[in-house]
Amino acid sequence: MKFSGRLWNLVTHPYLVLAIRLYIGGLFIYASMYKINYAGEFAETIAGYQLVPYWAVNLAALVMPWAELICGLFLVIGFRTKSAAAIIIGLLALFAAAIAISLMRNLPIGCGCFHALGEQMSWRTLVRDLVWLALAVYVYAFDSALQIEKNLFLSVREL
Amino acid sequence: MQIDTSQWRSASDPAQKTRGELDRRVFFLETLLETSRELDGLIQPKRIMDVFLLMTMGSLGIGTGLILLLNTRSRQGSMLHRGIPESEATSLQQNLWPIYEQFYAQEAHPGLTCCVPKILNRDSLPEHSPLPGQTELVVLWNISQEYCGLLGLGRKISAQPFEEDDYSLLSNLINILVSALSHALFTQNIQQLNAELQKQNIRLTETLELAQHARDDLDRRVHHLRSLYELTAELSPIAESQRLLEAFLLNILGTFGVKGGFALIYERSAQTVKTVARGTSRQLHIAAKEADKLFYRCLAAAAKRTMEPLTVSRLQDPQALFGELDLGINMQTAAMLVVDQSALGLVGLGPTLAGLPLADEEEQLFFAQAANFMIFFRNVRAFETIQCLNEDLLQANRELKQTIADLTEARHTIKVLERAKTALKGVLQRQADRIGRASVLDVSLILLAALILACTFNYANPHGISVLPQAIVQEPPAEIDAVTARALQQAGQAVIVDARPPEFYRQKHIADSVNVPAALFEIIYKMKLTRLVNAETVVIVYGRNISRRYDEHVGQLLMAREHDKVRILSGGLRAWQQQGYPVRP
Repeated sequence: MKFSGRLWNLVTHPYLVLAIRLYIGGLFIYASMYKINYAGEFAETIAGYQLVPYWAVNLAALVMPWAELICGLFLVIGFRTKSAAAIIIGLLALFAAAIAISLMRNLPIGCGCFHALGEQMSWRTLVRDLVWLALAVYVYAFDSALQIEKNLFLSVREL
Repeated sequence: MQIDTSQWRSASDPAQKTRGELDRRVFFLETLLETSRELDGLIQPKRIMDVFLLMTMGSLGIGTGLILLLNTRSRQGSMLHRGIPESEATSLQQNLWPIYEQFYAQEAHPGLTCCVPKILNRDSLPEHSPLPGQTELVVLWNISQEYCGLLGLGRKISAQPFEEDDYSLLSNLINILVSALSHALFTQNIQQLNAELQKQNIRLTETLELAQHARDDLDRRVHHLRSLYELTAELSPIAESQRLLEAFLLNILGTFGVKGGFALIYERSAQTVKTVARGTSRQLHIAAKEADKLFYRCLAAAAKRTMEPLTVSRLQDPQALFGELDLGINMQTAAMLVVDQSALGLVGLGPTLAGLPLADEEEQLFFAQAANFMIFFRNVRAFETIQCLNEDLLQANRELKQTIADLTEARHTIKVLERAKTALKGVLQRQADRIGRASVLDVSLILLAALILACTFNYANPHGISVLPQAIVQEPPAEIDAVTARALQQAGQAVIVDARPPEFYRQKHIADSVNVPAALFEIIYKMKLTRLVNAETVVIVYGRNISRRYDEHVGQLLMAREHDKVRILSGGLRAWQQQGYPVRP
């Protein structure tokens, strides 16, 4: 087997993908905790980006953390991982775009990813989000291990 | 007996005839009387003929003579003779019937009638007469249509010819003979009839005795048949083997007047023993194994050691055989019944009410009834078997119906399950498809769940926020353009308030404006605005973007502090800058 092939196998190894999946899932669970508890502050953060219409800011501040939590949980337990990963990919893409726009606008706001009073938004923040976005895509593409749903389905099919 | 005396009277008319003539007549009369006396009382025709022949020959003085008596129906006759050689007499004896035909044919003697003898002298005799040659006189006479006779006489010893008086005497003698023979034959007939009658009586008596025997036998058979009929009538309606056994024993006891007895049936295949005992206070209980041993002993003691079906065998010494049953009955008669190879029976009877065992005939009837019982028992057993089979069949039918119902229900269930399976399969297939890819449905469901959870949690959270901003529902303060606002600021009649967050304020704000973000309104209002604003001061608020209307919010808060002159800077910081008014930094 060629090196590239072995490297590909290594890179796409299910357990490696599983580890990344658990990392992304845990990251989103963690990120959602603060936002859920302090929805008002998160709403101000969203408003700081100046991208969401004023009538939708509070709704987005309420729904988005729960979506993050659910998707994070789904990734951790291996249930509907594709859909959860897709939503996370969407969210990360949205965050990255918002950060990029805000950076270009030179808005004096924090990213609000984990805390309202976090570090000031920077390009580093954007890179970090892009890395997470890449990992989410990676999970979406290669995840196959410990999917509770798949195991359950196989059991049902055996029955 | 009639004696014709007219001739004698005519002869006596000339009274002057000689005394010799009278003596001769007296002699004739005495001869007739003596002959009549001699013949009287004789009943044997031969004896009569013999006496008559001797008397006639003696009275007429004749040396040879014969007398024949012929039966015209049987064509037999008897002959007696005197003075004739034996050889000649034997020849005559063998030719009696030709003599009859010669002398008694109607053609030969048409004048011969009954009771009137006819005398033929030698000249009147046929030429070829079979009679002896010395025959001088033949007298033919008839007794009846059946009997006739012939008297043949030789010449007189005195060699004198026969005279008229001889003929007359002979005729009278013949009349006496005929009369005597008639009487004798009649008597003989009567005797024969009596003998015949006695024989008939004897036969009749024997026949009556036979008839009596036959009647007794018939009575016995009728009794047997009636007993069998009663047993049959009693056993016919019974369809249960135990009841059949009881009814049989009771019938036997009643029929023969037996004090007590028992009966049992041992079914070897089923290992069951049915028992019944009457006339004893003790119960008869016997196990299958004991019954087996008992039947082996009975088979050894049976008169007919056979296991042929429907066989009844008399058992010898029943008291010894059944003593161990301990029924308290002195067994006198017993029989072993072989219904078939699998069913055996025993019947034991005690003494009759008279204390005697059954007589032979009663025993035979008992065996016949036992044989009858076996047929009924076999039928009842067959009926019970059929009944069991019927019950089994009914049970099987019920089970079959239940099975069919179950199958129908199962079929229905299977159909439902098939549909469920199809649906489930579809669901599983769709789920399998969804596992491998992200679906819009899943995304929608996750977002919907997030929305529901968010609303629910926010509603329950005391620090929850309103889903829609307050600015939408509240009346916004009046607006003021940048030029007017600048003029009022410069005149010192207005205070400009920057309602945005501090970081935006620090980035750029209207010169001399006061940063009062809504989150810090209470603090800053007390610390700064109370000193800068009075009732106449116009408070101009600015600061809004696509996501927030800070100015309206803070304006509402100021109006809530009873500041009537609160205005929103129309166009905000951008309009201010477009007018070239100063901003900081």
